[in-house]
Amino acid sequence: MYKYVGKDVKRVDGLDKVTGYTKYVDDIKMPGMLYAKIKKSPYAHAKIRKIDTSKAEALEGVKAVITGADVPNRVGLYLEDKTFLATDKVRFIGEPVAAVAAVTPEIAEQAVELIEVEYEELPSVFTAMDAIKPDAPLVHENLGEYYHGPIFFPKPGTNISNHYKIRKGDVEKGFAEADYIMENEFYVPHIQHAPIENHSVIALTEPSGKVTVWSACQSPYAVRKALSVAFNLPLHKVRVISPAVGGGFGGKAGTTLEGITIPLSQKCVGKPVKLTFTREEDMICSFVRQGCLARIKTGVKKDGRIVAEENTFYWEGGAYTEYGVNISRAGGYASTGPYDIPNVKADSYCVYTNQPVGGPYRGFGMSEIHFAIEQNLDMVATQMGMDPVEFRKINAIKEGGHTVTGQQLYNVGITKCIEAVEKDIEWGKKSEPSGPNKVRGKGIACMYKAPSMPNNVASSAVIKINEDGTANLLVTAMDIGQGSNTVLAQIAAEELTIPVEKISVVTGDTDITPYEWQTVASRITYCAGNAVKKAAQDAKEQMLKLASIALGLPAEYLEFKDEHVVSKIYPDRKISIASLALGLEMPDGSGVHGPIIGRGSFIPPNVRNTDKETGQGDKPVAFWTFGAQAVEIEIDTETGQIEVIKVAAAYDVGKAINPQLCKAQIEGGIVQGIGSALLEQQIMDKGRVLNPNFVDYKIPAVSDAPEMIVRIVEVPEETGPYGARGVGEPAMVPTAPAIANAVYDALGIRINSLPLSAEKVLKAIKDSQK
Amino acid sequence: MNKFQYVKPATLNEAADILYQNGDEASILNGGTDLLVRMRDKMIKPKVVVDVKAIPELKELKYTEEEGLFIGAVVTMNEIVCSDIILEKYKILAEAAHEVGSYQLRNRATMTGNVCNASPSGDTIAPLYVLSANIKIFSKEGIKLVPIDDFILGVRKIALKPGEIVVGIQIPPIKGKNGGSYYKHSRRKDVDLATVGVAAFCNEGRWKIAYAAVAPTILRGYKAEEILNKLDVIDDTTLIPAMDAAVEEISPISDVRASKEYRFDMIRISLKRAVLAALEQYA
Ligand SMILES: Cc1cc2nc3c(=O)[nH]c(=O)nc-3n(C[C@H](O)[C@H](O)[C@H](O)COP(=O)(O)OP(=O)(O)OC[C@H]3O[C@@H](n4cnc5c(N)ncnc54)[C@H](O)[C@@H]3O)c2cc1C
Repeated sequence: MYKYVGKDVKRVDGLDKVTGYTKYVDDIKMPGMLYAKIKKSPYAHAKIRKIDTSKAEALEGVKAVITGADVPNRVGLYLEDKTFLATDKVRFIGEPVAAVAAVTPEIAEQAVELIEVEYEELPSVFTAMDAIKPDAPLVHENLGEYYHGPIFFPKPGTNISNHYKIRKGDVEKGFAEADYIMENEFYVPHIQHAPIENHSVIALTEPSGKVTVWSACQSPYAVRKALSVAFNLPLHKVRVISPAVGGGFGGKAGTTLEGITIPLSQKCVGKPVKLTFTREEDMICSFVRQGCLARIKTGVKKDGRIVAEENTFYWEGGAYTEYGVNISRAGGYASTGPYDIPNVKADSYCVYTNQPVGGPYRGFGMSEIHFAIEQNLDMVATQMGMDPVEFRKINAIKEGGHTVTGQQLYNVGITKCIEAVEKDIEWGKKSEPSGPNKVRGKGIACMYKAPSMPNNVASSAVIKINEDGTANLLVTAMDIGQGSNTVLAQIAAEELTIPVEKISVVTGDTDITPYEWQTVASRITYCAGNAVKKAAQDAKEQMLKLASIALGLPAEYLEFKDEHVVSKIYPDRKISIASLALGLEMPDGSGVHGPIIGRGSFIPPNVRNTDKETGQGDKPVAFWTFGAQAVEIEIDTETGQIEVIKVAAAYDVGKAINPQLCKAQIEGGIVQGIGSALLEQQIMDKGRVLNPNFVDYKIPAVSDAPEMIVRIVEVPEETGPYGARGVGEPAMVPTAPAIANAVYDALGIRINSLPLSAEKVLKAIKDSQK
Repeated sequence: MNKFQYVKPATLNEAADILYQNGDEASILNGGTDLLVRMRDKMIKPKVVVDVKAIPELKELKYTEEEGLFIGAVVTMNEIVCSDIILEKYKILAEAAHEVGSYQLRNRATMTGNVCNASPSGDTIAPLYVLSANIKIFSKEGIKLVPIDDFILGVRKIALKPGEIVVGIQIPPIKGKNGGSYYKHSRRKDVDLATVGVAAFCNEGRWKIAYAAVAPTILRGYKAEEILNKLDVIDDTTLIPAMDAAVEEISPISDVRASKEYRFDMIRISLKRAVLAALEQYA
């Protein structure tokens, strides 16, 4: 019944990207441009006693040198705990302490080497468990003074920057009623986003003091806000342009290099200053995914019902958790996974450590906690002699069931997803290994995720109708590869009855495109999609009024069809959108109304705070996305190498606006999930990253991609555009635990930490034979 | 990267002069896939970079019954992978060349560059050891041939004096029944460095074995060879003493790629797999 929605429309940005035409920030060259480099801390934790920049400043070609003194204001999205350059002390190896702008990158680099910093080393902490000890050195002594959002609960005087609690039902009573109680522990290490495009920013300060940044960022408005706070600038004097994003995965969600390039550019007014991170810098000095230690205690009845669960998550947040606190919060309010458990006690702690900064990463905590939840579920099922699929079906949230915050849910697609992957992977059927010393196994894992965002975050869209019947859609939702430009164009096309190819999407310029909170949280199709739909409807209402005058028919007798406003009764009485675009021309030659500009605004309806002590609330999130994956793997028992042969995935996306893009997201997520399962780990020694490059940080290559069977389940979300829910992040969440469960199926061995490297698997095999 | 002068001589003599005059300050640029990485990382800071890709003698790839195979210094890995004569007579080399990096990389990387870089994990070096390759070196004094195990001295250390250029790799003709294989164990199937590598080559019942990434240089597996030479039947079980010998012959380290212990385990499996694969080629 839809003409554009639900169709495999080709990516609107495809041609520019595959021909290499798309210009990313680092491709941009401007006259008189200067190049910046940063000076980094060699210590994990140290007081800065003195910085001497005089030699650097004296070097020919150097135009500006800055230190922490130039950027004293603390910033942060949820907790203002960072400055763009270290001020009083450094808190991780690689932390920027000073920066230089010079006429060439080489001179800038040379100048950086001439900066002399005197440090006084301080004791450091490298694991969450060490950092929560009472006598642990404090990473932030002044935590109590930091401004933070009301939904976060830092513990001043400790390294805990957020403690999110869930107290649902009566957990002690639940355990007392349980027939079996089991406890397990899991760990996921820090991993990298590894986008193909490194972080890159150009900043320009005009004589009027207005600052423009071209930044590879996912969230121009959030960045603008943070910069205005950091540099005491009113919002209209900060312009953030995001020309294109070469992969974000969360790593380009907050502010990154803007805060370093702006103060440099303020010292060289009129000259653009560019800073592009090297790959090594990208891997050390920008966001990584936090490590997470998870403990789960489960109480189960003989019939397989989980009646009580106690979950504790310790997030290794790194040196700054301005963003990380919200990941710990998300981990808390989703702490049991997509299961209906009456009695729950959960504690999610975000912990400072002297490590690279943890931040948003595709999945936003869900991959980490589901690695624990979904393996734990299998372990419990095995102990009880139950089939993991059956066990999941028993406990999965049903129609009218409750989440861990006590929210009652309807339109829940999880069981359908489990059934789909059970069938597609041929659950219960063993297939033959490909050779001697090879064993096969199958595993399943489920997931759920909600957008982790403040309750009232806003979206907006503007549609300008052109006089030839084409349209421009203006949004600040960023196409970071997920295909949002295409999907939003499809939504506009559907409403306006204007074909997708006649709609041009303009994004990412805070002076031009309207407000969007952030491109994160798998929220764009849902949030921006709703805004676009409303903008189109607004434009339509304006055109309907004019068409009603022109056709002499009441508006309720008119409808939009194939780029025209048409009479529902007499289809030949119609007027084209093109002829209404600039207003209506009257028979006497006069005009009315003027150009058609549709505007749409959206805030997810009725999302409310949860209780501080219990975490309970009837609608803490905008919507939930459910999904399941089942995998088949083969293990080489001589080398420990795992090959993922097949992955079946099913997601309830509510409505696939573009099924092909949806599937592509899911396939990409699976492959990223395989990377985190088998290969990826930021290897650290006392805070020093040992593999900040693709020689020794491996992500999957083409030959690691398995056969993938992707099924889309559509149980509409009432508040979503056409029923749509988000799927970008959910795509990668279940892959790692499903593989770990398959390892158990194949070998009878549990490995409770990632990655499942060949060496680790072989060691586990050998240990099991002892 | 530091500033440097780029020169592209057209003859060996011209190149030798430039190299001689600049001594340590000059670096030879071949495919550049090692050199440029090291320059970017400031591990070396040459003042003069001498591109040898315009020198005609270095482009040759030829085979004669008398002298065997000559692979010119600038012949790329992809040219080697696709060479009919190499696929027919020295398949182990094509196999090893194919293990190097990615397709794009193999468009530039050369076997001579791999050898001259002298990394313990260089994928084509162990096969060259078991084929008893010689390195052909030009200097103003003339041409000389140096056996590969004399040429490679240590990690990134080769027996090359200022003014000398490797013209190519000379591999003797192989007479009689033979078969060889290179087994690379790495963390990822494609575009990864060897955690452990083993080259196995059998000619008329005589084995040659070489180990990669388990010592400062590629190592010949003399003990394993001796055991293999005496075996009548080679299979999973009879191979065990040779696998044990391999463990004794290597001195691996622990690094981010693998622990020493894992390398010990993998040398056994890699030896077994290389030998069995070589046997499949044996004809
Ligand atoms: C992404 C990537 C992946 C890689 N993967 C692998 C892999 O899987 N396996 C592997 O073994 N290697 C790998 N390498 C390393 C490298 O590609 C190989 O060692 C390659 O064979 C080097 O050849 P080249 O022609 O590029 O050498 P260059 O970089 O040009 O030179 C290497 C060294 O040899 C010297 N040299 C070159 N030619 C001569 C000559 N004619 N005479 C004297 N000296 C000379 C140079 O001065 C330099 O010191 C990889 C590199 C990269 C960047």
